[in-house]
Amino acid sequence: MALAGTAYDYEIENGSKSMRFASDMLKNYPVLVPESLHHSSNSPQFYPIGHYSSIPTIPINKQFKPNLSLLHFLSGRHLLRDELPFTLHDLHAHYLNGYLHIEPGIQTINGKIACMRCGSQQSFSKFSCARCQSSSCQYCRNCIIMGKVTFCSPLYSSSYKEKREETTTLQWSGKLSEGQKEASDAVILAIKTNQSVLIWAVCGSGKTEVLFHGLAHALSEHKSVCIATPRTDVVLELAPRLESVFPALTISPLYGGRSEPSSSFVISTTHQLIRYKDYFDVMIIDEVDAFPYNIDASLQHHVNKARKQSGSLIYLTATPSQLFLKQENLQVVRIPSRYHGSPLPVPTFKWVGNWKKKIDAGKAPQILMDWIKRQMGAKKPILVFLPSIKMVEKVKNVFDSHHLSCEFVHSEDEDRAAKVLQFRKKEIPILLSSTILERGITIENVAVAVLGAEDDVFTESALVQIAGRAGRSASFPEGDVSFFHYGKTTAMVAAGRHIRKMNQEAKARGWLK
Amino acid sequence: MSQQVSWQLLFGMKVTCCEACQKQLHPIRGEVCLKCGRSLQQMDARFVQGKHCTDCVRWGERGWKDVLIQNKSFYVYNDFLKKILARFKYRGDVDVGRVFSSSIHKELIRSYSFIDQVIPMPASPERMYERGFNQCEVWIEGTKFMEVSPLKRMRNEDKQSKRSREQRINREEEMFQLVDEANVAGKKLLLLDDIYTTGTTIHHAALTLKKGGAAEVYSLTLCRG
Repeated sequence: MALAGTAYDYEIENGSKSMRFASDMLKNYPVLVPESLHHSSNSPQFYPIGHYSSIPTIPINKQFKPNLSLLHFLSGRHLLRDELPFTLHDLHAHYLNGYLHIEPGIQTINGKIACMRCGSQQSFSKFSCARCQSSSCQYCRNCIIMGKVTFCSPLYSSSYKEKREETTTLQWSGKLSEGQKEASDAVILAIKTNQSVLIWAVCGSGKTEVLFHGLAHALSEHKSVCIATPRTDVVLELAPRLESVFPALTISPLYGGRSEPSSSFVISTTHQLIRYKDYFDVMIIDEVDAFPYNIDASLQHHVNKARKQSGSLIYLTATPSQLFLKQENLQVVRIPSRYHGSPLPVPTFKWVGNWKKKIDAGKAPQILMDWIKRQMGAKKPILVFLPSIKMVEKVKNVFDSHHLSCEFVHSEDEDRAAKVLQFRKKEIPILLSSTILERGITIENVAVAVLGAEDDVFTESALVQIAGRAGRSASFPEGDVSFFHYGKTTAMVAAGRHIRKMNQEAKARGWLK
Repeated sequence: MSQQVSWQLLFGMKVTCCEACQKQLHPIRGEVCLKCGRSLQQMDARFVQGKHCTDCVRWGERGWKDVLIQNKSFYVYNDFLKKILARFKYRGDVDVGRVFSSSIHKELIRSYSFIDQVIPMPASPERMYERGFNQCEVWIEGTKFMEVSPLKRMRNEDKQSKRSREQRINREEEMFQLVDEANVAGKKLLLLDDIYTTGTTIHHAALTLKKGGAAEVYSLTLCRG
């Protein structure tokens, strides 16, 4: 979609009705010239840019005075014409003088058609295109929500890199735990030597602090840095935290609805990285195992395209998948202990029989009710996870009929943030949730339950994350985690083992209080 | 036979929509305004006069009575169609719009055999370049109904959806013109558009055609706002 009031609109107003190019020669270099800017007397053949299989880069002309705001806008980016608020004339001049590159949005790679922006090799369709006048112009359906890439779309990029003048120092007086310190050193080393490392840090170990010294180092060397995450919530949480410890730094948070960066220090959803190319010296991927990054190959493509292949790559997670750990040459540093030095709460399994049948009959399992009453007696906020949105709503009705004051949240709930806030303020004693809150929620002194822990949605990593909600605060390091189930599953057993192993490792290293 | 298959058989089309999506499409049924095709049953009785809605009565009172003979719409415009049309028109996912091609084609054959030419609502040159296609042309692409349009839309036109109701109805400048080689004299014409909201666009297009000598102008839209 065109940005309102951009030069792009200007172009339309001025009668440029074509997105086709002719090939020409400029000082012995083959170049492409847009139809509307072609002035020579001969009338060449114009084609959509996808027609040209290779477009050579043009060397930088030092005599040319580039428009710095254009270079700033395009630096490291990978953008469609409609995303650039500059005239076609300006863009073309920078292209001819080597300051920007153009490439076809859709190309054939090894005999397979591919979207050069999102990397998809499927889900293409055709349409009769008014821009290139082709009756069967191909477009990519996979990334269309981020703007339409067609056979006639040029993708613009620039390898020009601005020198950052500002010097940023870390202003943080906190102390790292021993586990954090070890991981922090590994992060610094990876950044210095441009290598990869996985920081496998248990929930509540304080993984953000682990990044501080590495980030300070990267900034001192003027490296471009991206912290990528599958979840918008994390972007919104992380940006102010980093701003407070790097007060002189301009941070660019990117997420759906805010897609224009103002600096080379970016905290972005993995979706938004689609508009970068070969840019970041340091790429940090938080929650590499979280949905939808773990299942969406094009998000992985975005991250890979956005980073410099010669740069460093840092993964952070509490629950890496087995597949991920099997990668060759992956260096792994574990933080098995929490920052406060108390062990992770180990879940207890409680068999409740056919609980769904009871819920359908308007009743709740007695064991669960007893547990809830105990937690309420101890004045603990209670977080209950359920396998589906439908079940969340059903259980809410049952709790209501038992006069248990509760609220529910799920992914399709628009008031989610407000309800979580109320729960945090203890205005709501019980919060029912689908797996949506399995990550990232920190409530002091919370008691955590899963009803229906045997369900397939509760994988080992989901259960470890859920258990990781409890006991995070130094004031209440012991949390109650109970899995109410109708038959133990492998995932439940594996989650219990996972947590106990981490506690053993922490103890063996002398990191538990 | 599964319902998925029967849906495909019913529409006999290449691009289909799943049952979950189909359920969210609400065809206009029952008694409708004889002029604009909106459901009279779903309206407050204050806004119904006999077989017409008061909006259409007002069009008549303002001298537009014989400009448009009749509009017909397939579906009630709801949040679902709003999303679908946004993905189709603004995002440009043409395949999403093609889901409706077959039912539109069938309707043209079934109910509009007396029509001399089907005219997809033209887009202004700017809009055409911005979107890269005309959404109404997509619905008849590759069929015998696709012909050179006698109608063109003027440039520098604000987006209709950004205008207030008053601004939309009382606009005085010409929205449309006939193309130089147009010959509509004595013809029965059908305008094809995505949505009939206040009816302003369709009435102005019809007026331009009538002024050019068209005998009768009808309209068919995907939804009724």
